[in-house]
Amino acid sequence: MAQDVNKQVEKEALFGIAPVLKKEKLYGFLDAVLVLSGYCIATWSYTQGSYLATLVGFKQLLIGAFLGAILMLAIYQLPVILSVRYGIDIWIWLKAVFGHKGTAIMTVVIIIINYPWYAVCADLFASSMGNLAALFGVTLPDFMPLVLRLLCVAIGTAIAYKGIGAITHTTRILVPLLLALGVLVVIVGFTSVPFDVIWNYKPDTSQYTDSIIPYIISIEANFAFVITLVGGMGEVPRLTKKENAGFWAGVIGQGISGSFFVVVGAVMAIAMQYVTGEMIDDPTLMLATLSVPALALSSLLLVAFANIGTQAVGSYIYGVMLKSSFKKADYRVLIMILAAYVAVLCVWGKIVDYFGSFLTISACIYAPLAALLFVDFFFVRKQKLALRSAFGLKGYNAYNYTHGINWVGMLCVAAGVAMSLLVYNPVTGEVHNMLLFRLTPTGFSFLGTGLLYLVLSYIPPIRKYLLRDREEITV
Amino acid sequence: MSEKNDYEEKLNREIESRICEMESDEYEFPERFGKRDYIALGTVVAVSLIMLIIGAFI
Repeated sequence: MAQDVNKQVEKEALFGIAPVLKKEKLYGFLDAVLVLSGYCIATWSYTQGSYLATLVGFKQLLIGAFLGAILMLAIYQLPVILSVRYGIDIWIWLKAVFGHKGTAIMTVVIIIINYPWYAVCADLFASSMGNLAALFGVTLPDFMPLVLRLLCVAIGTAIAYKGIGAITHTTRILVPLLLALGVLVVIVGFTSVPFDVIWNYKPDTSQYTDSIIPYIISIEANFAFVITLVGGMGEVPRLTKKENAGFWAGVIGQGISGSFFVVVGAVMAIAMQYVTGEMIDDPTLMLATLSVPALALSSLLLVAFANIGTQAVGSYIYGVMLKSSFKKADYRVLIMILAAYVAVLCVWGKIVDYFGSFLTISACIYAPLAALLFVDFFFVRKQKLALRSAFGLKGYNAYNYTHGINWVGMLCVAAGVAMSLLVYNPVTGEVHNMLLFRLTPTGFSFLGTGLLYLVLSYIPPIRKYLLRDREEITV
Repeated sequence: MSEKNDYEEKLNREIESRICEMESDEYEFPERFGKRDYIALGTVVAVSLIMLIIGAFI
């Protein structure tokens, strides 16, 4: 049984690694939109929406959530055309930017900073269960939230342990459930409070010295929220039949569908504040308060399954991602390591309290990574990659660089992180440079890292270091 | 350990075979991102940026 699961995952990783040929492409534009919409929807969208509602009014929130997401996606996702063209994930191209060992390091770094999303997920599961128990007059003991968080992680990991069959069944149920929940929340939200309460909503932002600051923080949160999708951005486009389909599916699927659920979360939080005086992003509590408890019970099932399902899918995706970088590792060991990591975060228990900080800290890495991919693809390598070197085939060493690491790429990432932190402290909320802050920390880091890498690539010795692959180009 | 080496060899053979197919003259790459797409992209970026700036004054 253990061997079967490992073989399944190896087959998936093989399919996930080897170039997808044109005859094997699965998705047209609409299929890709649907899959990518499902990929970016999770109950943490509600957390994002309620967080944005503490910063800006509803009209600004609509603009930021939709157009902030679309702007960032339209720029950083453009390199997915390489995924469509060559049938490869961006992590294969990134071997050119970071070297083989460097890419493995970045994979681990990405997982370390991205996996806390699953602690958010577990926290939402626990709070939903706790709120529902309270509605029926049951007071849970103090240790129960932690137990519930760990239960979500354990069940999700157990599903992922069974491999791709269980994951496929889970996702087939998960996405429609999440969509159903989102529709329910919208209907209840807009029918239970007057429309103009939501439309004209503005939060109390008197704590900020300048009224523009919370707006910029909200745009930063939108940029950071969508840029976390960068790690998986090539997986669906590599299966798409045309370059424009792969690109526009990502921008529309993620920019509109994903943002819709963020706005749903905001609507919910605003409606709850109007009725109860408190910003709440728990759909279970909202549906129980604003409609009937029976509906809350239904939503409990939806939310519980959605959070467990998201946990399972995340465990699987990152397990396969790690297996692609560490081919000889056992998939089951990898997902147990991931489960242990998120369990530690659950024990800490403060990931939702630091949600805004977590977004910007994760964007500190994603923004430079996205910038390097963009500049490398369009300007440095001019859309040409030495495929055999990128796949590490024997005898092809163009991307070995210095003991497997391209130090130019790694140093640019470090510089990009520094640029973000120089502008804004995501933990304390202190703005260090108001002028650059207007670009948002993520925007500034993206632009600055891209420019730095481009300038460095024109310095002759560095250019020679980066472009040792030109003689190997065949496609 | 030898099973794991077999897997890696199989993977590398498959990758080599697919690259060779892409290098052949008969291979047709997917339809490229065209001029109209770049114009649409430029429009989307410009409109989004302008609206975000306007949003600051709402």
